[in-house]
Amino acid sequence: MIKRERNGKRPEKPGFVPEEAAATGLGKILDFDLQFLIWQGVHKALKWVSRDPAERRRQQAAASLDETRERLQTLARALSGLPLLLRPTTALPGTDGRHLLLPSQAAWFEEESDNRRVLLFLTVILAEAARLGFHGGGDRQPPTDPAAWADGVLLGYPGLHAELALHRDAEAARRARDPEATPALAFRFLARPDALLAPGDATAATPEAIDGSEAEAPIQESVSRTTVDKEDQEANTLMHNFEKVETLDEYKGLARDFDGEDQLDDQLEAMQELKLTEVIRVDETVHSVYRAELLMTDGIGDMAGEATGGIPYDEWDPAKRAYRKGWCRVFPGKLDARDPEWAAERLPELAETIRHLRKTLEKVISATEQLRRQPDGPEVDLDAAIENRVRLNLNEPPLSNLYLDRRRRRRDLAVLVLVDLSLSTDAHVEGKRVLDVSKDSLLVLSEVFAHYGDQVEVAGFFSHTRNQVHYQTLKRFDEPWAPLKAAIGALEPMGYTRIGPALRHATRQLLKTKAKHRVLLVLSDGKPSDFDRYEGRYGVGDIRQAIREAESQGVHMHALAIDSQARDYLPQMLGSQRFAILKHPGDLPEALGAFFIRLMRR
Amino acid sequence: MPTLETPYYREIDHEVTTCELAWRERLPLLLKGPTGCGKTRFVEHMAARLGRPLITIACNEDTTAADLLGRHLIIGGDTVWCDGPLTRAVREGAIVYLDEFLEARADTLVVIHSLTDHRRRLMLDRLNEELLAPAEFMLIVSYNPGYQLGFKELKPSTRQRFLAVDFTYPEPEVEAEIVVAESGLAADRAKQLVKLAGKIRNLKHLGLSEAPSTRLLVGAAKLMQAGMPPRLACQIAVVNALTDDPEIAQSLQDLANLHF
Repeated sequence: MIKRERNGKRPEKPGFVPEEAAATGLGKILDFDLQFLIWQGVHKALKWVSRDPAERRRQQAAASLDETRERLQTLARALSGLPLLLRPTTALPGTDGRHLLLPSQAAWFEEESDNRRVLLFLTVILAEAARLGFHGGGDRQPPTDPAAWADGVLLGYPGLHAELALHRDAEAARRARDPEATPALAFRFLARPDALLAPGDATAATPEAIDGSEAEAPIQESVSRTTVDKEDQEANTLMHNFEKVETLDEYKGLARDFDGEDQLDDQLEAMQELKLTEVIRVDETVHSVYRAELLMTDGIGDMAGEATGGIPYDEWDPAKRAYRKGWCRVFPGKLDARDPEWAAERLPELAETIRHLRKTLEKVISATEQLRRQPDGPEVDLDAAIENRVRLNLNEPPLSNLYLDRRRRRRDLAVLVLVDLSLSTDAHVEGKRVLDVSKDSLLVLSEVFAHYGDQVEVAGFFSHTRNQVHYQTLKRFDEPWAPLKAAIGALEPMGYTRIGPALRHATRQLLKTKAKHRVLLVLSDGKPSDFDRYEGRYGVGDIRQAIREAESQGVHMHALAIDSQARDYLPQMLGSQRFAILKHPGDLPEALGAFFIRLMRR
Repeated sequence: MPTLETPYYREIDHEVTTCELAWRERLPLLLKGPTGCGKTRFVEHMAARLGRPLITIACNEDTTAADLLGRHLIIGGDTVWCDGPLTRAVREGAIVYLDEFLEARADTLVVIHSLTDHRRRLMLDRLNEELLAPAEFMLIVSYNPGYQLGFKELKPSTRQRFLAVDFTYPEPEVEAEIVVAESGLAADRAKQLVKLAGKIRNLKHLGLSEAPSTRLLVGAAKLMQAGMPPRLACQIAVVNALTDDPEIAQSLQDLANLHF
C-alpha cells in the first residue's frame, strides 16, 4: 500500500484498478481508497489546467501504436523479408535487426492522420534499415546522413509521395511554432545490440494491454537462471518481502509464494521497473506468465552429468554442424492419469464443431471409399453396367461385378499427433489456455474419427533437461479411440520444451508402422526451451535437423499452432507450406479435424 | 516455325530450347512449379512453335484410365468405341499436356508408362490394340510441388521417365517485361507491380499461404491499363485473390498503397 503514495506517477495511468484483491483489511482499504481517489482527481485536474491547449490537442490526436501494431508489423515483415517484431518505446525509435522499436504513442501533431503517418514512415524506414543490416548485428555501416537516406527510402515508394508532402507541411507548421522541437521523423540505427537496452529505452517501454493473464516485458538482453528444487522451497525461511518483489525478484532464494494468486494486472507496472535478468525456475505450474523477449548473447551452460536409463538420442549442434552422440534421454511412458469427467463437461460446447466435421467427413468418405465393381452393394456401378452391355453386344463374356460398395478400406496412412505439454502451454491466448485448446482439439478428433480407422497415435511431450525428455503415449497405433478421452482430460502442463528428441522418438514410432504414408502432426508453437541451452539458435537448429531426419525417412511433418509466437519459429523450421498458425485459438479443433479430413481425401 | 498466333512466352532459362530438343529426341517432359508461373502458357507457346495441335487434359482425382484412353459407348443398339484424349493425341501426333498430373490416381498414371519409354506405344486393352506414337507426338505433364499435402509424390518409376524443367517466378526485370508484354502497361508501373509482388512473396516465407503469381500481376496490370485506379486494381486483382482474412487483406492493401 505504501507503493501508491511513493509512486506518484502511477495514478495517471488510465484504467488503473486499485488492487483490492491483493489487500487484506477491508476497512482500511475503503478508507485509503477514498483519500486516494480524491488525490487522484485533484492531481488530474491540476494537470489538465496546467497543460497548454496545443499540448491538449496533441494528446487528443495521439495515434497509439497498439491499434496499428499488427498491421505495421506485417508491413515491416513484408518490406524486409525478416520476422521482425514491433515493440513500443518512449525513447528514439530504432532497430536491432530483429525488433523495430516504435513510439508507443505518436503525439507530435494536432491531427491524428499526421501522427499515424509518422508511425507508417518510421516502420518503412526501419524495416529497410533492418533489411540492409544497418544495426548492431548487421554487417553494413549505416549511412553517414541517415535523414537523407531515410528520405530516399520513403521516396522509393510512389504511394508515399503525396503522404510525404502532407507530412512536410505539418512538420513545417510545427517547427514554425516551436523551432526547438525534435523532428517527428527522428530515429536512430543501433550501433550495438546493447544500445537497445540503454536504461531510458528498454525500461521505458510500455506494456501492452493485458488480455487473459499474460503480459509482455521490456526486452532484456540476458538472463541467468536459478533452479530451485522442492527441498529448497520447503526450506525457505520467512523473510520480509518488499512491494514488487512478491512474485519476481532480483536475486535467488528469496522466500515467496511460488506463483500463488493471480495478481498479474496489479504487478505489471512494478515489473516494468524491475530488471529481469534473473529468473527462477521451479517445478510448479504457473498461473500467470510474464513474458519477456530475451536477446541471448552469452551462452547458457550445458547440463553436466550422465543420465542413466531412457532411450538415448543424438542432438544436433548447429554451431559445430555435428551430432552430440546419445546426448538426450527419452523416457517413453503411458499416461496413467484419467479424468473421465472432463470430456463430458467439454462435449456440449464442442458439439457443433464435431457435428460439422462429421458431416464433411461423411462426404469425403462416401466419395473416396467407394469400391467399384463389387459383386454386391447398395448401388449399381454404371460404368461396369455399360461395359457389361458392351461385352454382351460384342459377344464377350459378361462381367459379374456390377455394384458399388462402401466398405471400409484399410488406409495406408499412419498419423502421429504429438502435443506440446510443456509449461509454455499454460499461457493464455485470447483468454484461453493453450493446453486447453489442444485438449479440446484432441477430444474433437477422437469423437469424429473414432469410426474411421485407428492408425493414429496420440502422444505428449515435455522435458527436464536433456537427461529427461518425457514422451507420454495417450493412444497407441491400433488401440481404440474410446479410452483416449479420459486420458486427455488428465493432461496438465509440465516441464519444458525440448522438441528435438520428442520428434525423433515420434518418428521412430511412425517408422515401426507398416503404413506407406506417415505423417507427424505437432501441436506446438515450435519455440524450443529447456534449462540447459536448448533455446534460440541452438534449439531451432536441432529441431530443424530432427525434421530433416524425419523427412529423409519418409515421415512428413506438419505443425498447427495458435500462439502468435509461432510465427517466429515455425516458418524457419518447416517452410511455408507445412504449418498453420491460427488467428484465434477457438479455431484449432476445427483446423485439426480439417487437416485429418484432407489426409483422408488424398 | 513461329506463326502469327504463337502465344507470347518469354524464355527464362533455356526451357524453349530444351523443349524443342526433347520433342526432336522424342522424350517426355515434366514441368514443375507454383501456380500461375507460366507452365500452361509455355506449353501453348511450344505447340504453336512446333506447329502441332495441343490437347490439354486437366487431371483430377476422379480421372480414370478410361478417361484418358477411351471407352465403348452404346449408341442406339450399337456399341461404338470412342477415343479418349490421350488416344486421339497419339493417333494425330499431337502434343498432349496432362495438367496437375499428380491429381490423377496412381493406377491411372500407369497407362502412360509404355508411352514414355523407348516403346512409345499406347496399349488399348479394350480394343486389343497397340498404338505406336508417331515422331511428332509429345507428352508433357505438369505438377505443383507445393500444392499437395506433402506425401503425394511421384513414384520414382514414373518420375524418372521424364526430363524435368523447374519453373519459378521470374527475376524482377523479366517479370516486369512479361507484365508489360501481356498488358501493355507502362514499364514503370509494371516494375512497381513486380516490386509489390516481391514484398508479398516475402510474407509467404513468414506464413502467408499463397504467393502472388505472375498471372495475378498481369490481371492487375490489365485493369490498370484499362484505366482502373492502381490501388483499386491491386485490391481486386491481388489482395482479394490472395486472402479471405480481413486483417491480412488490410496489410496487403497497405503494401499496395506504398507502391501506388
